[in-house]
Amino acid sequence: MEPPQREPGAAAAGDAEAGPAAKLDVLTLLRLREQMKQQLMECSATVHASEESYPDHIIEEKLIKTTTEDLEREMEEVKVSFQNKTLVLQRIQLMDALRNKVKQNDDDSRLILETMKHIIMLSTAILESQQQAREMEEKLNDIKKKRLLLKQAGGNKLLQIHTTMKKQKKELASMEVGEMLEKIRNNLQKEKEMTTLIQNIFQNIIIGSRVNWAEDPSLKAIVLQLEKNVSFL
Amino acid sequence: MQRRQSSKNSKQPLQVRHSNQTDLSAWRKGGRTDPEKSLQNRQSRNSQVNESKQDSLEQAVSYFEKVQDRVSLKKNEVLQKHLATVESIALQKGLPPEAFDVLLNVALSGKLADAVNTRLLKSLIPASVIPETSVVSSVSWLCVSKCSGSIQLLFVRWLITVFDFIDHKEQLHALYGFFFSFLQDEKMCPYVCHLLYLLTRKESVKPFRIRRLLDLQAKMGMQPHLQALLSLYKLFCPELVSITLPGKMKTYFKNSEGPWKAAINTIRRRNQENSPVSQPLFLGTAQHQSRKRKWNTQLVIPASSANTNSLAGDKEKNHVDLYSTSESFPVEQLQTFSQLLQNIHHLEFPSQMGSVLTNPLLLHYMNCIKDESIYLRLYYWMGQTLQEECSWCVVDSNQYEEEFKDFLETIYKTECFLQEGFSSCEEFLYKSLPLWDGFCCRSQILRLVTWIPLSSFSEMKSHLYDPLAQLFFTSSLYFKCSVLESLKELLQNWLNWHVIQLDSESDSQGYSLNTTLSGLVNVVAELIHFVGWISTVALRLESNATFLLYFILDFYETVCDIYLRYNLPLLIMPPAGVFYPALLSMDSVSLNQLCYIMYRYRTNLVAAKENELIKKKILQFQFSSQTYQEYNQYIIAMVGCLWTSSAFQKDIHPQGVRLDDEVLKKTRVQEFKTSFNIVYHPAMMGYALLFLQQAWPDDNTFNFSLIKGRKWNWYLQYLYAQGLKGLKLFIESSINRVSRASQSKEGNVQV
Amino acid sequence: MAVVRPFDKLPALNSAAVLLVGSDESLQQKLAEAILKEKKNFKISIHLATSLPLPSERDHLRPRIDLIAFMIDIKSKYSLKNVEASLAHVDASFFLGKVCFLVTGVGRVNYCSVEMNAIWKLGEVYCSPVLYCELELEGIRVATAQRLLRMLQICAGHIPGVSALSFGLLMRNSADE
Repeated sequence: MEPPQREPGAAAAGDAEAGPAAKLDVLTLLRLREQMKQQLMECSATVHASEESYPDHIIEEKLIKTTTEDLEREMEEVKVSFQNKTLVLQRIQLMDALRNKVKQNDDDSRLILETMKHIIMLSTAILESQQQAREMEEKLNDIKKKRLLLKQAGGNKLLQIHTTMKKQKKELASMEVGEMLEKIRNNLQKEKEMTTLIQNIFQNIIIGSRVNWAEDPSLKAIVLQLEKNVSFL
Repeated sequence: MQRRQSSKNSKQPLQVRHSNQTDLSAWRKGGRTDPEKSLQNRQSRNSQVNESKQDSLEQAVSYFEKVQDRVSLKKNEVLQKHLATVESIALQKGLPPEAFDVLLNVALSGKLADAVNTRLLKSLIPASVIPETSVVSSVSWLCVSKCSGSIQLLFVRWLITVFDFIDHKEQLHALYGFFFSFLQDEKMCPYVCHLLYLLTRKESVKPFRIRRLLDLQAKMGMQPHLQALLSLYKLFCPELVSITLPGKMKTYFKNSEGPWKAAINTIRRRNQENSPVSQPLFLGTAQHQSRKRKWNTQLVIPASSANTNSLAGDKEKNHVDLYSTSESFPVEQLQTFSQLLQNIHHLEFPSQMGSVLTNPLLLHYMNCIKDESIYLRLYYWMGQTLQEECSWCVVDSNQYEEEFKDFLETIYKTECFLQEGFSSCEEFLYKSLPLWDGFCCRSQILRLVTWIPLSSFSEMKSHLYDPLAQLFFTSSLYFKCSVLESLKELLQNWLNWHVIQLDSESDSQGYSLNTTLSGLVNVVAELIHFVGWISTVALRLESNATFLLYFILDFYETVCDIYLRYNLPLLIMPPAGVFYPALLSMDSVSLNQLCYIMYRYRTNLVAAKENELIKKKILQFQFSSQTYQEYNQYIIAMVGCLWTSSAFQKDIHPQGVRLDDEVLKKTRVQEFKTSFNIVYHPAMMGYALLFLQQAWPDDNTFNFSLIKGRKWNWYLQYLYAQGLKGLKLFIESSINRVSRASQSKEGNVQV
Repeated sequence: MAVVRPFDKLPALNSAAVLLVGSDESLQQKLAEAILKEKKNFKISIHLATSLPLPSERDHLRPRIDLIAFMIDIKSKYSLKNVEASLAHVDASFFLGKVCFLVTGVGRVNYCSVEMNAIWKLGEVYCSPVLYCELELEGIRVATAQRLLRMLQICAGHIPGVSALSFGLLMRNSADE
């Protein structure tokens, strides 16, 4: 089931840098050391865990859960603490080594010095860009806020427009129009509604008659008018 | 078939009516006056291969045009042959516009057996567009109802699927009442509802139709399709539909795409691959909207979208009709901003809400309008489109992905324009993030995340944070940085929104829905804690990568200023897993930024404390004492590192750098105490070296301990001159300058 | 032997081994190639199997397996069944962070015949992360290969301070509900 030739040999051959013959510089060695430490830790943790005796009585699952959560949190804290402290120690040693090296005043130290200068140059450039970015972001944010404010103002204005329109309409309706005009308007309104209904009835008649209306151009023309709003006919 | 169509068309006086529909009517004219020529054009364009196929298709179509009643499929080989031709060409290239009239007529006339009709309908796959007239005449055939119920049903489903391919829809709108009458057929009802949903405009909503729908609902119970139509009616005319309808629903309509959708997509893609410019079976106008997918189609305002009735009254334009103020301005005529202003009181949105997204004028209008219904309509449309069209990617289609990206991009731009997120887009993200591979449409998705609306539900965790974290932990450094950047913008958008709410109205009104100030504080705090957590993990996974640290600190640059800049009583310190790696960083930019952030924290905390003393009102949102405590711990550590060289003894943070001398001695470094002051700090070494070189040009020993006393101050000035402004602000604010002469004394640092 | 165990062999220096289990061999092959193409500073061996258990006669040749990725094709119910059957042959301690489920075919959710719920449940029951992808598309395949490599490095103990167990915990904490 497992086709081994599909995998390891060919694959590994490609990785020249990783093979045992690869150049083992200090950095790689350090990295490998860290790797082995980690692996050792995991292996010993496993061994340790398998030696652990399990309690005979059944512990409630809820209890296990809360305990696990507490332990997880605690572990996370310890981890961060350990990492911070490790970082301190590593950086102390690293910087001390670097300073001592620089003082030796040889080719290596000159290279280090050059690199440092280069880093500072880049850092200055980054600091400048960062400052610019910060300022631009502030501007952008101000614009965003302004847009939001405008949006609000616009919304309020439109609301005003609509209320004004409604008011006008009301006023118009309540205005002392001649009785005659009022009557006419009502009649018109009624007629409109009637027409709409008639249009609909007509549609239904056509449907009910099962006629192929599209074949008759004039009938088709009528059919296509039946959705039009009356007020504009 | 050409002959028939042209003769038919010439009899129709209605077609050239709408003067505003320029491009389409041009096509129509072209198609009508000289169909032969366009057919030739088409043939010459993709000459050799197609010619024979075209011939056989033409033969087949003309056969169907003349076919007599009740020809048996089994016995008639000619029918078999022509049917097979139509089917194969339809699947391969799609059918040309001219073919639809004949094939629809024959299929719906009931001349042939249902088996044949079904096969014909199933092969009605458009190569480009479907002429509206052919759809109109088929609806007429439907009224005659000579064909069986299943054929009718199939036709309606076909119509829904190809809706966007119909070249023109005005006459279809005119048939609204006809479609509506088909509702009474129980089987057709769901599909007819869907079709009506696509067609409905404000003027289609009539009281008697609402009554009819309510009757149907009473008869058939609460059907999602009926509800959909009713809710649309309610959106258009809330005053006419008084019943309450359930809020958002996931899906209103069953998938009606049937056998056509896949074929249409394949042909569309094939056509585009074959010839980027010309399309084989396309007549007339070079670029047409229906060539594109649905979302892109709907981004264009169709010529006939809105109420064209108002146009009819051209001559009466100056006449103000007192009684028809409800008359609306057609959006397709909206060209300038001043037009918008003049007509803002009577604009009606187009029936295809999607077109709003690409129209800046309508967006301006949308920006102002507080009408919930507009948002609901957009919500329906976008939700439907995103749900229907998105699966992350469809294999073997880059084109598809590109188009989808464009669409997402358009949504994002609209959101930026409106400074507001869409809830349908939020739902889409929540639905798809758990299935995301983190690669497809990455930048689009992460940008859309920045506009997720602030909501008080703690759904955020399961919908956004959890899926994002899963991707975050397993993906590349670059991805991690992108996520952090997006979350920073999300935070800023929320905060901006909050500021405006505060400014606008006095508290109660500003927070809509169930967002209260304390709710908001909780949601924002949740986001900040989440970022703190993933940042800690990320720094561990990426072994404190400087690049990553930039993005994390950028996030905290917003966080540390929340109180003063956004007026929200909330300050949260970075976790120790972020603070210490930044403090111990080997990069001066990170250290400088940390200094700046701590300075801003201080400014905010001081301001908060002062305000607290002045007005006791906001006491209920007092910062937790934990924030002050953490700040003080960090400051002690920081001053202890950078200034007094006492951090290893004085740091009191439980996860800090307090270390026993014995452990420190094991490093075998003699002067370990000073390792992190501004001279010896890993991020500062370069500066110290250059300073030594400048101050003692002849001395090559690089004696770091020379920097003290007055030189210390010079060195400080030197650092400031190098652009380390954050460091300057920090030192000047947090370290008591009285005691600066004797650097070993601890300054007054606590707030 | 019937069961693969995570800690019954010593790790080889600067190397890691991943076992891909899935019924679609060509897709498996493509993914393996994508993983091999990635730049990395350790030796990797990829083992492919259509199902578990692995034949015991070759056991001595096999390195320590650091990560098992079960591939499920969303379009095939069989692929899910196959994986479910294979899971029985995996030692329980593997599920402490050294197993993941790779769900492919997500680009075609509309055509899926496997219920997403079933997959989600699988991930929960076996306490292992579920990665979604579309292996037939090259870009996503590469991205997925990179994600697998990151997990593999952790599982093989190459990242100081991050064990498979703690990483698994992390993924599970963010997969609640």
